[in-house]
Amino acid sequence: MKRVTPYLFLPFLLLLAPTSGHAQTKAQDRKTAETAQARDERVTALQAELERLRGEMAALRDELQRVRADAAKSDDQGMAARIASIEARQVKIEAELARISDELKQTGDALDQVSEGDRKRPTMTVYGTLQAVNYDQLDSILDAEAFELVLSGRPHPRLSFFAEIEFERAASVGGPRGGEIVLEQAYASYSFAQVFSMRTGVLLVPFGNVNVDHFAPLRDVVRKPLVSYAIAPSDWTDNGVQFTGRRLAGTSWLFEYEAAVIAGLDRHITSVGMREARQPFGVDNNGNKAAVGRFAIKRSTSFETGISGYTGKYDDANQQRLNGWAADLRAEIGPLRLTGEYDHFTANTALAPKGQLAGYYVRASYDIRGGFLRKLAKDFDDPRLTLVAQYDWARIDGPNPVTSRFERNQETGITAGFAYRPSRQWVLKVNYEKNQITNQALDRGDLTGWLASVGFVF
Amino acid sequence: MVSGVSPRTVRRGSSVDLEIRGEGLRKDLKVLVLQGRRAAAGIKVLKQDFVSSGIIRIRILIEAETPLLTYSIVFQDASGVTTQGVQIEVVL
Repeated sequence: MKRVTPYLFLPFLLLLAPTSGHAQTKAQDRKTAETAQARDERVTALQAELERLRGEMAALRDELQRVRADAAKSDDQGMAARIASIEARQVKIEAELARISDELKQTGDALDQVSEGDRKRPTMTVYGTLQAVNYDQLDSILDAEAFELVLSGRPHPRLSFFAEIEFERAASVGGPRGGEIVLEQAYASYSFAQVFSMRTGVLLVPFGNVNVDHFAPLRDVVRKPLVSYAIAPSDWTDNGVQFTGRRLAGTSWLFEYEAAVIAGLDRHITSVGMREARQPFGVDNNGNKAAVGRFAIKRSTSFETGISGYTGKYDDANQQRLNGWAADLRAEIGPLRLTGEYDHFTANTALAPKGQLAGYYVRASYDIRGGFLRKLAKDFDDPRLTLVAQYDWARIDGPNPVTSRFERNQETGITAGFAYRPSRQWVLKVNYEKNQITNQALDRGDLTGWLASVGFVF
Repeated sequence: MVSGVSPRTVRRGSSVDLEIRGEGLRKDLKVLVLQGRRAAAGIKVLKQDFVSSGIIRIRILIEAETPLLTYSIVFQDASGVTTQGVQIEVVL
């Protein structure tokens, strides 16, 4: 195996590290926005005052002109005094105008500085989930599955970054209570044009709709689909370079591509899936780099379909190729939302039969709004109860991970339940799952039972 | 005068329709999306429909690289005067 020196990534990680001087919470965002708004209001007030004084000034000039014309016709001493008084008032108003203009400029400059400072400052979002699992065949468990920090920023109109750090079951990382910290995404992006941006760093592999949109609290079911666990190993991240772009057709349709060159999966592709084939960061078992990409067509938030492809050599000898493709769909028809993904991979081999990995999920979600939900979710604008049903299927022909004997494993699952969201920021999900296997388990085996989770995004 | 916007949260990497409510809205007003006092990079106004003096509908595209932040939507008239803003939040 070849190891890439980690020092290359140090400046990048330092750039992304949250510091008290730079990282900004939503509360700070709001405070800054309020300060900026107060200054905006001051600018508006000053502009109104300026307009009033300019009007007064114009009226004064007219009056002065009239008085001077009258004075030219007579030698009245009172008239001269009146002119002097008006001229004194003119001087006073002009001084006031100059003062307000100056204050307006200073306030505007201060606002620009706040705005510029905001633009350069990273922002932080957090999300996480707590799961309760009660399968009939096992003891029930409570699992604070994940807490994630998301940092994003755009210090320049063409330069941006995005990072996602997961604390997974991180009760005591490195200690006896287990847990891990994973850098799920961390990339810098350079937008050359709308149709061409380059991302470099740790990337979410653009394959299927579950992996590219993997945020658990946004999903209607508790667990990720079987196909995205055993076949496309979500959360599937890798080191690499990614090119992205989008093009609008009219104002409704959006065509988007993501194409990446990554280290790729290694030889640990077995009859129970490809999760073990994800390589450590900075490591590659062969010199070959994998190419992966997804092309998507979107219409607003109501429709999205994508096709994905993957190719790369996976064995240590750099001889055998893994090829895969996926098709995915998400469509909303009124309150009904249909989501699905089909994945297929072929792992070529020298002598043994080719490994074949395939799977899909289909999910129907039905949103209920208003009515009793408004009473239940007091103080929330748009509470939603989603009824959801999902079917999972996956089948793998490949070598057993222990004996290397070629075998076929299949697993199916049915999930039904609901997700209650008083707002987009919080969700309670309750699911009933029934799973079945032929031969070995790919994920849940033949477990049947209840799952619940609370997720949040702030 | 602008009083509200719906929805108030929008996702990165998608286009979304927004309904902006207010009083005295006019056809000639131009909609701007601001980060602080500057135009927000990565958020593009695709379409603007005047419905009534109380409602204007717009469609915006939020690029995938757009930071997760709060942005202001304001209207600007021909002389450059802008209204107070309503805020939308770009979320995951």
